[in-house]
Amino acid sequence: MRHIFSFFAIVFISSATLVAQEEAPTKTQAGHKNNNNFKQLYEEFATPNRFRTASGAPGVDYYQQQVDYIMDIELDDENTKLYGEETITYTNNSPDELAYFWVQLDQNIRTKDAPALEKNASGISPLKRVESFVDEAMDEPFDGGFNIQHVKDANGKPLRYIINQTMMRVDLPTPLKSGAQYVFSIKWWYNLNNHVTDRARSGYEFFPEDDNRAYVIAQFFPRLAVYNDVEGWQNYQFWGNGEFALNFGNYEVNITVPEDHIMEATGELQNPKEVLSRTEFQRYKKALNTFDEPVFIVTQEEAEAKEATKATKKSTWKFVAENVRDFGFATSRRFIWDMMAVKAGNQNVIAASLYPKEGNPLWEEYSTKVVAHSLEVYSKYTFDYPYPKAVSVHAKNQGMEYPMICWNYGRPNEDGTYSDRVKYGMISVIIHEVGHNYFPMIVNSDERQWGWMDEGLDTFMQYLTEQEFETDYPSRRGDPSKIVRYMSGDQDFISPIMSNPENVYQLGPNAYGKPATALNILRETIMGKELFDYAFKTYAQRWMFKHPTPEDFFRTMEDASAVDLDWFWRGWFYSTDVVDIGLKSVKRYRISPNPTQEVKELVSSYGMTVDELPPMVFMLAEDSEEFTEELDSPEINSDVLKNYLAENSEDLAGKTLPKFFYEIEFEKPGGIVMPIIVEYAYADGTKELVTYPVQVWRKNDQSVKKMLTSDKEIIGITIDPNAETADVDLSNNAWPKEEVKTDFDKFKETVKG
Amino acid sequence: MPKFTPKPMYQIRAVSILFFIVTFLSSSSSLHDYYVSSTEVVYVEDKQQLQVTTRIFIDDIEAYFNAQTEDKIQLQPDIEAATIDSLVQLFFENNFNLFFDKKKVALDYIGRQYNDDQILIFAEATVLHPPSSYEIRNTILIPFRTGQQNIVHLKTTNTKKSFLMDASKTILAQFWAH
Repeated sequence: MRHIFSFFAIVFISSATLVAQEEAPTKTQAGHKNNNNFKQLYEEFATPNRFRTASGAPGVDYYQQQVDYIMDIELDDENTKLYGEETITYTNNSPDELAYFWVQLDQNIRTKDAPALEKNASGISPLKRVESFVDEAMDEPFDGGFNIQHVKDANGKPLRYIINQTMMRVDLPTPLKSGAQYVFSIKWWYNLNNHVTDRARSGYEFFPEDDNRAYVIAQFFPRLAVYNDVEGWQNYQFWGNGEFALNFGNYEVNITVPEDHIMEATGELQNPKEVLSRTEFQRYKKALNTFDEPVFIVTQEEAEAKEATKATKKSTWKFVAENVRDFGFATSRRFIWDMMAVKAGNQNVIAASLYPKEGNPLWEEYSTKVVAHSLEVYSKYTFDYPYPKAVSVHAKNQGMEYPMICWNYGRPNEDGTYSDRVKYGMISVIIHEVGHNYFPMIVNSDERQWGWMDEGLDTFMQYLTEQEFETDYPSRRGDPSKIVRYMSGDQDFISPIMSNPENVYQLGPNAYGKPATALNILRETIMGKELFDYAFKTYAQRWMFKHPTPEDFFRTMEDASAVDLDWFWRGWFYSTDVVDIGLKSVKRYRISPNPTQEVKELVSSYGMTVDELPPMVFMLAEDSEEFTEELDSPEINSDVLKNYLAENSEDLAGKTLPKFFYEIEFEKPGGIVMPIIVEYAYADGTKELVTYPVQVWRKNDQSVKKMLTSDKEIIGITIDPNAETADVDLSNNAWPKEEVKTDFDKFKETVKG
Repeated sequence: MPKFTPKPMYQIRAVSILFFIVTFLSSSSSLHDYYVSSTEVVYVEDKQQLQVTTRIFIDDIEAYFNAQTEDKIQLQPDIEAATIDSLVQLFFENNFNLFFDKKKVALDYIGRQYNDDQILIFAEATVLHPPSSYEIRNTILIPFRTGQQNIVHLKTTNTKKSFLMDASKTILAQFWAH
């Protein structure tokens, strides 16, 4: 393929100028701002500063607050209440004086009068199941939320506080100076909710057949809000969708539960000998050094044996966690517990699972192994897993992440059978939630503002991890074709990725699917794996144990790869535009011995005649009226050209004139600019894949022409032949035109047989 | 071993509570975190054919069937293809109806298919001329799940329209797009 722009350049450029002069508008034309798709994101991005650099790395003055917790927690299993007291040490690393603290009271989303209960529009359905109707009309809302018993300073003196929905302002007697520490304590209790019936992130599942519960507890303590250089105090209330923005700190947590409970939590267990039986302790020690297969610490048989009775004595489990942003725990007498050791980089990590018998046989077979696999793959693409353990807990119907521990669904039928859908759903959710250790537990983005920063990056990594779990793993998200249905949907119900999670119409595709797919496309198609992987790893390592913003991610990806991606972020992240690139026309040209009518008119518009021109080659499109059969031959029809070639044969030695000349016009009905990936199929059966850089669209947003010369006749052209760009309309992707079959058409064919 | 036991009262109640609670506290996970179905209605003028494709999450429709019957229903793999077929057909016919110029369109259920975690339900009808007005009645999972949303896409040769239907909007009447 050779470009032959030079043949035409002189004539066409000057003629264009002329035409513009002739058709000078009579009215003054309106101007416009810079709407170019390749405009850099200076207006969208915050100005770089000493906290956050233009390269996307933390700046010299980057800071983050440190908040350490010492907590005593007690579970009242009988009355489903949780009691707690915490001593908080707040270190003000900011350059600012703080007059007050904002403390997050996320449980308050479950108070009877929580505004979150009324955040959605509601209507009356013309029909409703009678049970639902009665429950909805007559049930009392759950009496949840924190009951704050006291807030005191280090000397036990009460501190003034005020509660605003899910946040509490604690007023400091004197402003806390930059670099200073402040110690205070809070005491509270709250009613635990059933997380299955209200689809919550935390609470218990009730097993009526033996009157027991499995607790998965989180957001259970008043937690300091983040104070930083981009938000000041994080003051976006908890409404339910936008998750958490949290500080790093060290935790010492003592949790008192009935003696027959088995527990896992964020952090390392300090007193296994005290809380475990002799046998359990022996197995626990064995598991810490067993790398091939999980070791059962509590078997199903042993867990079942505890169902009938309830211990009256209590025991206190002590956990210590360093440099974590949150704390969660799971406890029940019904839990089965298995554990093994994994090598993650240079250190040994414990992979463990906790599940009621309802999870088996699926859980004993897969959970811990999937935890281990996830740590290995994520570590490869980001950084070595820095925590001592990762635990997967089986909780019905939910998947939710905390540092070192997460809750996952995936439950077989009562008879122990399960479908592939349940199995892969479970493996996928474990990969996803364990993966959240990296984003946002360690690369600690602000989930309250940006759901995609953890969900999107994690779902992208989940896709890579699934594909490494087994060949042809049925990943639900990640493949470009899977996002087409969402992106091509009604624009009224789509939000840009750069939206707050509370305000999007469909959180799943918005914060998980689309960003994951965009990153996948970036990796496989735009940047290439090598450049992408290095930049992605750079981002992960730069912001490990820090608080990145979207711009820190966008900037780092460019900074570490030298690929300008502003156009990509603009199209995929800042807009709801779609990818749709098609073929507008394909014209074959022949060399004409004589000037065409078009040429004559062009020349005469200069006030010249054809005879006055220097030696010229004339091209004629096959669909032109002037086209004749004699011209339809690869023979050189032009004496001018023949003479030139003969005269310059020495200089042109080794080169041959191409036989076929094509002008291909690409159109772009979609708003997103993307490289044009084209497959040319030739008459001799060969194919050629060509990628025109995305920059071809920078001066032609609607359509762009490309000249193509070849010794072989083109018999077919396909745009995006491997479906790597999430093109929403395939009906314009092929020449000759091919009918695009819908799911309906395809199904109909199978029915007809 | 599959066995048939009547559900004790408290279980039935637990089930019913589960399905009415508003989903405002949906978890962060890879579970599809909103209840939504989508139905594509395509009028192919030159074939005089109306093609309907409804997509529903398998979890949702399976849970619905299990709330309706004491038998344990499982899809993909199906406990029994013929049983699921008749359940799906009945479900579709009861919950998705089209009226063209105030007359019910005789949608012919042609079958179903699984695609990832969704079930696709196909139906068709012969429609000689585009109507001047139409009505969509869509109650897919509406009585069953609070918060259920049903998106309908209507495509003709020249136009494409989408509607978001929910409990407060189960019937939608429009003039045909020209």
